[in-house]
Amino acid sequence: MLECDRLHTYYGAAHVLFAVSLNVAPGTAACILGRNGVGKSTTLRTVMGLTPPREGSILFKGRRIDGLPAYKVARMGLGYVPEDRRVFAELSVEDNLLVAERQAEGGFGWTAERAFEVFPALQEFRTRLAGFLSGGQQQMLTIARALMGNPSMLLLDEPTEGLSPVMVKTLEEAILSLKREGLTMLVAAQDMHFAAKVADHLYVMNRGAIVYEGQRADMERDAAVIQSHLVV
Amino acid sequence: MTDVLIQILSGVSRGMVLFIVASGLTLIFGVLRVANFAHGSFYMVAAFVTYTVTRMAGGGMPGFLASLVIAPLCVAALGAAIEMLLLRRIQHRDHFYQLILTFAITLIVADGVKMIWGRDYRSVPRPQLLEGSISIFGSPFPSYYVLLIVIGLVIALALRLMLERTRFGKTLRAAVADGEMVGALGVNVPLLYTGVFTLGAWLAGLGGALAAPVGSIAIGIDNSIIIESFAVVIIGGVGSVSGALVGALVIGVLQAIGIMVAPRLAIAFIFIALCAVLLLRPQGLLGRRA
Ligand SMILES: Nc1ncnc2c1ncn2[C@@H]1O[C@H](COP(=O)(O)OP(=O)(O)OP(=O)(O)O)[C@@H](O)[C@H]1O
Ligand SMILES: [Mg+2]
Repeated sequence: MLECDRLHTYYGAAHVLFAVSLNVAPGTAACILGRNGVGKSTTLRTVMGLTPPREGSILFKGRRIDGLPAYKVARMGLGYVPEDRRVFAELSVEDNLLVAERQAEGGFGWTAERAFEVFPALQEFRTRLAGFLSGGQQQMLTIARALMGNPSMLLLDEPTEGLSPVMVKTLEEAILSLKREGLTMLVAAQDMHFAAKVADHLYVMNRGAIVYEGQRADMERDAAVIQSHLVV
Repeated sequence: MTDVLIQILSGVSRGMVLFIVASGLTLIFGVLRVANFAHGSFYMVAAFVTYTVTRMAGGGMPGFLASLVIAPLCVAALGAAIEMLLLRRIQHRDHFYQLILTFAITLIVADGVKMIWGRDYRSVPRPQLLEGSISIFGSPFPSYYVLLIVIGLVIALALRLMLERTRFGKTLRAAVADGEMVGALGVNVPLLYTGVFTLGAWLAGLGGALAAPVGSIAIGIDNSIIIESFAVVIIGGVGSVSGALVGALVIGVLQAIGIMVAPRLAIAFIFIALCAVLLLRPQGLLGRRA
């Protein structure tokens, strides 16, 4: 579904990604693990077309998307759940979803009603301004919002970051249920437990490069290696 | 006492024109993040087009109404062309370049206007129906100013409905808050930018057409309106149409009262208000914190 080949990304003069290659097969979830500042978000932003790579190529459903503006990438079926949530604070929950409502190629027929089935907590607050939601509710809203574009693949940037344990569990379950529905996913995360629950395939990043790659089955065996890249 | 009331009301009518112009500027500023110096040029071009249309159609009501339709549309087309052919090419560069570009446009337009309409002062007659005045507590108040207030309120209401009720308006507000995110959700950002810029230019044009029968039309009105409009945007808060309404009324009324108490210092009142807002509430009266 998604094939990234030797991506190099810069912020101005700062070289941030170094030959990042990764593949996500249809219907599977891949996880990018890494400490603060190693380039997880940049990788997702690069795929989305928000910070285009200076070198390398990105194929999505077999078509080149590097160099395309983000809105075209989104319309091809990539849904983006950013870091720090970025809900439209002055719009209601419903309006946040409305702005994102769009038929992407090969989507799953999402409506606000279906999104509320995945996140019942949002239904209650549908007319409330997004800025007045709790952090966890806002995180649900960003996922629901991405679903409204009818994506065939989701990019999730630390979706459980900074949430209470109960909320983390709720979100994990929602993400797993979306995966069961057939959504392909690439998730950035910091902790291994989350990756162990969600990921079929695991990438570990350090200093802007992929330093480890393995299947879920390898995780236990390689735990020490993986951990060594996650500690400061 | 009625003098003061009449003066305040004429300040309000002046403020309404300013609001119409500045609402366009604040939307462009909020969504495209461009400080559009050319906004004053749009206003000026519309005033001159109004002059030509009313000359051709005669000074009556038909000519006036025709100019209200034609002048804003001409300017909207000019705005759309500028956005698509010029601004879009440098949208990923530093904002500094966009400042220079829109400033260059003001110079080019000013020269173009000189070439087409000359340097003379022009005036546009008010249609007969609007030439007189109404009586407020026994004092006369020009009918045309009443019309300006009414149209200002109608535009304020229409913009509000558009922003609160339509999908375009909601997308626009989302883009003011986080343009990049809106793009990542699949919104055609270039099209949105063109739409907002065109709408903004249309509003500047409507302001220019409405202002044409008040005072005279000449080279230089672009500069005075752009300064006032930027003041309105800063006082009201970038991207906020309600803020622009408040800011424009504040400036209109302050100026009108300023002319009464200290005619030579009237312009200073704008800048005092501006400084006060910048010091006490830098994001503007109705703006949100960055
Ligand atoms: N806009 C930017 N301009 C310049 N450098 C940036 C910018 N954004 C990120 N960086 C740098 O790029 C590197 C990678 O950042 P990135 O946000 O991708 O890391 P991350 O793995 O997502 O971290 P975190 O876990 O904190 O979210 C960091 O060193 C960061 O300082
Ligand atoms: Mg990050």
